[in-house]
Amino acid sequence: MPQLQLIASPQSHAEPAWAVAFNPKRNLLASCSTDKTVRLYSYSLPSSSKPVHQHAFPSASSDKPVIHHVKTIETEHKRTIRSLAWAPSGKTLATGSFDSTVAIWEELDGDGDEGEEEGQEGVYKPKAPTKVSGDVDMDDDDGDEGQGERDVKEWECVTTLEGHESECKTVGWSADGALLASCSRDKSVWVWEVQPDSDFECIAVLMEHSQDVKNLSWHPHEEILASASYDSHIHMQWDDPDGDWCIFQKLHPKLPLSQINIPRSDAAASPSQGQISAYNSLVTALLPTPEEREAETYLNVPPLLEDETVWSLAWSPCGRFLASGGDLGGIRIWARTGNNPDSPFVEIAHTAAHSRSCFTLAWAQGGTLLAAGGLGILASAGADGKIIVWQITTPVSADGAEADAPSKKPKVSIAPIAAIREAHGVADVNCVSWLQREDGGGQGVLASCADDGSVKVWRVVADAE
Amino acid sequence: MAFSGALTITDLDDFLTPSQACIIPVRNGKAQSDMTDGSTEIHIDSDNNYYEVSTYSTAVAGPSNPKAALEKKALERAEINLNDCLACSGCITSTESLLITLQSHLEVLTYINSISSPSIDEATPPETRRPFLSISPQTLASLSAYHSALTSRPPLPLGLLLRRIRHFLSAKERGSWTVGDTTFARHLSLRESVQEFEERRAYAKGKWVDRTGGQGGYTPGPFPVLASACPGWVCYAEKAQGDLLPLMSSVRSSQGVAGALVKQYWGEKAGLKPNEIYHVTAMPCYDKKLEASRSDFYSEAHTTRDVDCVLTTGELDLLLQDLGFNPYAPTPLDHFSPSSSASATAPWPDLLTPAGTSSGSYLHTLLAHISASHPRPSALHTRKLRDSADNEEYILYDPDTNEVLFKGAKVYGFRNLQNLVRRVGKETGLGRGKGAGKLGAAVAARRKKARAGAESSASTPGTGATTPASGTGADGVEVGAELERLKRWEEKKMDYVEVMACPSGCVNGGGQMKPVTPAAAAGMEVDEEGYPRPMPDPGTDTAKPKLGKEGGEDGEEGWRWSTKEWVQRVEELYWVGEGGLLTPPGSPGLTGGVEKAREGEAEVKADELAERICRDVEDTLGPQGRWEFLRTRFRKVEGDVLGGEGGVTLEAVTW
Repeated sequence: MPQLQLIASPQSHAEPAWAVAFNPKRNLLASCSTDKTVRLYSYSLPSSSKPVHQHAFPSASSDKPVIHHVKTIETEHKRTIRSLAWAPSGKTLATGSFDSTVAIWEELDGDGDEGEEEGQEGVYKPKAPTKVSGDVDMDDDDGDEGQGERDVKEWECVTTLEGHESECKTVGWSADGALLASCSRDKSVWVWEVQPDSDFECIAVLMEHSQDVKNLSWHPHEEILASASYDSHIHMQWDDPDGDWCIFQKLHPKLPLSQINIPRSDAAASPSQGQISAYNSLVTALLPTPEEREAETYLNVPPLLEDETVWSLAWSPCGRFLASGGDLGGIRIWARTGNNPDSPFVEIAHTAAHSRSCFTLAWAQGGTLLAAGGLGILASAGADGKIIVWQITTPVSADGAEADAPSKKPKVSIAPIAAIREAHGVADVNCVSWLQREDGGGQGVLASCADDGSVKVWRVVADAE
Repeated sequence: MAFSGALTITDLDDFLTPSQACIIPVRNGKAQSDMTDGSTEIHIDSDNNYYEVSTYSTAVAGPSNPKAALEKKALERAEINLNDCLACSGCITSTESLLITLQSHLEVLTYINSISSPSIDEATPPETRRPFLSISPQTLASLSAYHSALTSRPPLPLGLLLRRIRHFLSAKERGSWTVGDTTFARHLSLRESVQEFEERRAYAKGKWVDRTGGQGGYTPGPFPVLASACPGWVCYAEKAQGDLLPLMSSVRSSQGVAGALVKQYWGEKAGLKPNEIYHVTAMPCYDKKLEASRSDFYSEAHTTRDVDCVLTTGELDLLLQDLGFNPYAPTPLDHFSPSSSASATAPWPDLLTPAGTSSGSYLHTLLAHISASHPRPSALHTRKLRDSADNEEYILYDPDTNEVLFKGAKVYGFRNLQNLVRRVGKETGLGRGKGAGKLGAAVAARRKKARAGAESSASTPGTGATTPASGTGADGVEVGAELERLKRWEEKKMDYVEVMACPSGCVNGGGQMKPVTPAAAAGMEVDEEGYPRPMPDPGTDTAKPKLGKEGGEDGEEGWRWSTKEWVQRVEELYWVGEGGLLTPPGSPGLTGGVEKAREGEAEVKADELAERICRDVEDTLGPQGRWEFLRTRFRKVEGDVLGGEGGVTLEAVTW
């Protein structure tokens, strides 16, 4: 039974931290906050971090990745930085702020003597010949890959995108980095095209949401954009080959809630102490405490009949499924029912998850193998302070192929595999983000941030310590 | 968003509204309260009057203070008028709703009722104002398309439709209206735009002479000139892009000129003071109501506005339907000769439709002017940016010398407008230009390097189409010269931009008729604007996934496509002149040197009349009066509520 293991809690922001994101190419993690700063953290993976097989989680006793703070970008945003996103190249960072603007950040070129030829990006640089002095966290330098970023230079705002009338809530880059989308409380979703010279051209302003647009998420490899709103709808948008950017489907959650499906303990098969304690901790984290039960009976609030805000979105790595997190704490799964870019989506699952709003979702590869129907691991968190990791699987037939043809309504199972209460004390958890690397290293490493300004890094481990 | 096209007035519950509290009631003469103790209640009596009643006095002071028990103070009614709203960047949605109730077809119906059957009620003075209706050509095109689709009959030419409305409303029982269209006013507006363009050129060369002797406090602005005929764009620019206002054309829009023309010129000829005329316009867009409420178009002396009431196309149709108008019923005016249309019933020439765009041909008028005033033949190069007809660049050049005579663009729709703002900000250094202005040296150097690399491999920009107008063409030009030419095109800064807030321009205005739906044709229940009710729930289409583009009327796609075709249809009808003759929109021949000769008799007459009117106005009112007659000013709307800089007042909020 896997478990969430805390591996780092680097220095906190002064005010609520809203978003975290791992750089897709460099060993960097970024976080942003109401304190109007972006903090960059370097991480290095232990040499033993190569998984046994592609999807296995490391053992709890194995060497931990090391994370330390390397840079604070003081931005010129006038209000809270609500979200951030790394371009797929890893070279550009976008921040979306409550001051209604989106800022684009790039690292300054080297100071002339080294940066030019080598390229500043230093993707998985080989071991540096000399140690940087004074770096307190370099004790794990024996790793042959994934060393921390040592020479993070100044980051400069290269352009500001204006246009939103009020708070920008989320920014996101398309899979190939050619497009940037932003959404705002002004009910609009904007799509910008990246031009040469850090220039951006607005190619779409979608104004069909009737309320605050909370979140958006790009399809992992197609130019499909999902946006979620306080109007309780998810809009699916694309660049119509016969026209402009437009909505091809408006999703409206309908399925009733089903209870959390806690998998049976597999402790019976391999009854180790670790397995049993891991299972117990999962159950404890997911089920209400006696106090909570008591409070519930006192309150006895009838379930809300009105629609719920859609707070969060996450695409499955394969791109066939979309998860959404609601104001009532449930998670819904939507499946694409065809192979066209604008094939419609249907709601296929709605599971109870959090006891309050589910603010954030992150979906990455990992866990059950693809051949066994594994669709990856989904992390969720929210106002109840819990972080839950779910294993998503789809039934497979005997020959290993997925049981369902894509045109039919696919089935998925959503099973919690690890969960932690009070991940950031009593604070709401605002964002979770998986580390995802091309080389598969660091699988199961998750960053989270919370209202108390804290940023934490966790990993899913195969067993309890 | 301040754009009518994006607004549905029937859906006004907007949770954003309270975020920018309306402070007008708070500001209005806050009288010192003599009730020093905090605890008061507000009572409402049966006549809806509000009273502030002190509860403290009775409870604490008790019977020992009998005066206090009776203390009851009538509260002043807070009034918010349109000008308050225009001066605030706050609740746009609510502003719109206010406008709709203030200027609606019901108001016009009330007027018609009061003039046809004078009230016996002593309190209300009898209605004596003479009615005048100015209809925009886009409105006529939309009505023609709508009634054609509704009845499955061939569309009416705009001139015929105009004369039928004119005949219908001229009946005594309907108020004996004078009905004109706004194209002659636009003609004046276009002529003035050319003059303004030349003024700005002269000013840039230091050769401008202020004929008003400095009275007007006006100096010509810098380039590029941004068209100001679209009130949606004006509204947005004043609220969000205050730094670009000096670029805005100071020329009144066609509605603005029509207002002056009717109240000041036509009124004088008819022996009427401005406040003795009831001037109604029919416009393709809701924001024209905002425009009509601008202080420049209000006469203090006569306490009247140039345009008293603005109806949208949809509202005009409702009005006509309420009065029992049948567009297909023949009238004696049907066979009126267009050449003699400036007769007793038509106040000025009908339907002057200059080639160019259906949104007013502002850009094409300038192109024709520049081309005609250039001593040698010129050629026009156009290119669509991003393959969109709503974002087109026009370069007028001399094919012999490669001199770029004029670079203009038409930019329609909110999205293209955003890029225009960015582009103009970059070209002129105006605008807020936050990040871009503070580029670090290293970033700037990197960009410069990248640019140098890109230039050496320069290729044809975009999907251009060069149309040599006349004389020697661009045939057989060697590659070097071609590159040189492209470079010049790229380097030339923008001279004029025809900006419209709606995609496809005014034919697609927010106030236009909506496509005829099977429901409407079958006489299903419709709301006050003629849309079928109840509106389909936007979220219900998850249940039945659409099959594809051909998915029928119920799906989102079916609706989308029909809208596109609908706008196309209105656009086509806009260009159908008298007797079904097509006026070619923006034909390439337009910029040829011989263009003048192609102008019809009607245009020549219109020019003569326009000339005469301008002279008359200047003779009676002087150069400054002429300026006021044809021009207007734009003001930056400060973030009033929280004293922010420009549009985003939220920045001042700490969060």
